[in-house]
Amino acid sequence: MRCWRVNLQRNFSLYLNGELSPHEVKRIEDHLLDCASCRARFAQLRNGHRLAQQMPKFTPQRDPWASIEASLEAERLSAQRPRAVTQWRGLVMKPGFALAVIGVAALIAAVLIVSGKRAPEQERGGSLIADALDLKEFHSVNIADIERNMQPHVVAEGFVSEIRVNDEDGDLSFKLVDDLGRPGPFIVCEIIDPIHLEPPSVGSRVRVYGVSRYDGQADHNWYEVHPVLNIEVVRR
Amino acid sequence: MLMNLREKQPDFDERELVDAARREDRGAFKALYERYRDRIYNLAFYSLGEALWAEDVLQIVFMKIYRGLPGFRYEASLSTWIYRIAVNECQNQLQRRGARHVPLDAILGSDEEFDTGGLPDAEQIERERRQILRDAVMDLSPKLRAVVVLKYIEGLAYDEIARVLECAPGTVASRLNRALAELETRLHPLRRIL
Repeated sequence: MRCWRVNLQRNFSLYLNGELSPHEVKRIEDHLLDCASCRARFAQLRNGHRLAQQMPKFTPQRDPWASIEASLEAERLSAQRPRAVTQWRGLVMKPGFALAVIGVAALIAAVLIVSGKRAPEQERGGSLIADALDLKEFHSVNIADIERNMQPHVVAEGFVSEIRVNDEDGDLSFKLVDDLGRPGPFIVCEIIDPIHLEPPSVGSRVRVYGVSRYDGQADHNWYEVHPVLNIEVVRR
Repeated sequence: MLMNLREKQPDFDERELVDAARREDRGAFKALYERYRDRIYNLAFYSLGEALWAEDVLQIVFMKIYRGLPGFRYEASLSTWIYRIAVNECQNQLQRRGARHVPLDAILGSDEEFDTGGLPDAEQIERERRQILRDAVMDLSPKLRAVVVLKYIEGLAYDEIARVLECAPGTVASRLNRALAELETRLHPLRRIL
């Protein structure tokens, strides 16, 4: 079966370039010991890395410094001349300027119209990747029981209580809870960049498919579905 | 992830050059030019695929750098700022010219194509090997090519590539994975000579 640990696979090239922390290196190496699918992918990237390291470097055959210096000198001399007020007038008189103004107005109108109508695919929710998944292989877990789960691929159902955008990587996460009105157990579900999913709306009830993991960072210490592979909207 | 030292500790020598260049010290600007010329040329060459076009873009980029220096406030490192100007200019050039530019060399034949019979075998093999690698990189899409060049030619850290391309570091990692996989697939049949 194909491995869905996309967040680990995404780090393979960082691993090859020595840009991971020792902890992340260990995570990848541990995973590679157990996962034949990732080992094959990693071997392919390692060969690509070796080839990329041999990319030839080039130097310009003609040094353009003399041209750059001449252009800078010409600019300096022209800047010393009194600025013509006619520059703007000349611009406004050009037909290209009028066309540009009309173009911008049309663009604004188009954006307003399109933003009023959402595409049907977005209304449905879900993702293109869902077609590639066998949803029956995902282990169903209750939000309150996620800490006892041992399965990597899970599906959890609950309400979306909040949505956040990660400042560092731009990834989007949302909190899945059993009850919107009361504090209680939750799962943080993260949508990452290579998997394009429409985020659910706050208050909706959804079924989330993905890879389960525990985030042990000091200010986190929570269970996650990361990455989210598919979202089914149960109730808007 | 490892910190990029260039981001955290500005090069004081470079900062002095920038300050002097802002005061229209042509010598200081030339020193900056010499420091970045080959890096920007490689980026342009791999982006556009032609030596003459890359030289033209090199000139345009340094004109833009000179004009932009008074407004440069070290919100990004100098190298990030310069690479960003270069990447944007290459994209503009590709969009503006649309169809692929046909250089004179392509019509007349370049010097490299003439009389290679006298080259020693090893040198000729090395030249062909470089050409194969270059062609494989040029066959990548512009987005994948940009990350490969910034990583393997320019030696930037992932974070800095993300800042240059104005995207998330995760996007850089994904694109680099795709690029390496594509390179390997394309060059796999030639692995014995590469």
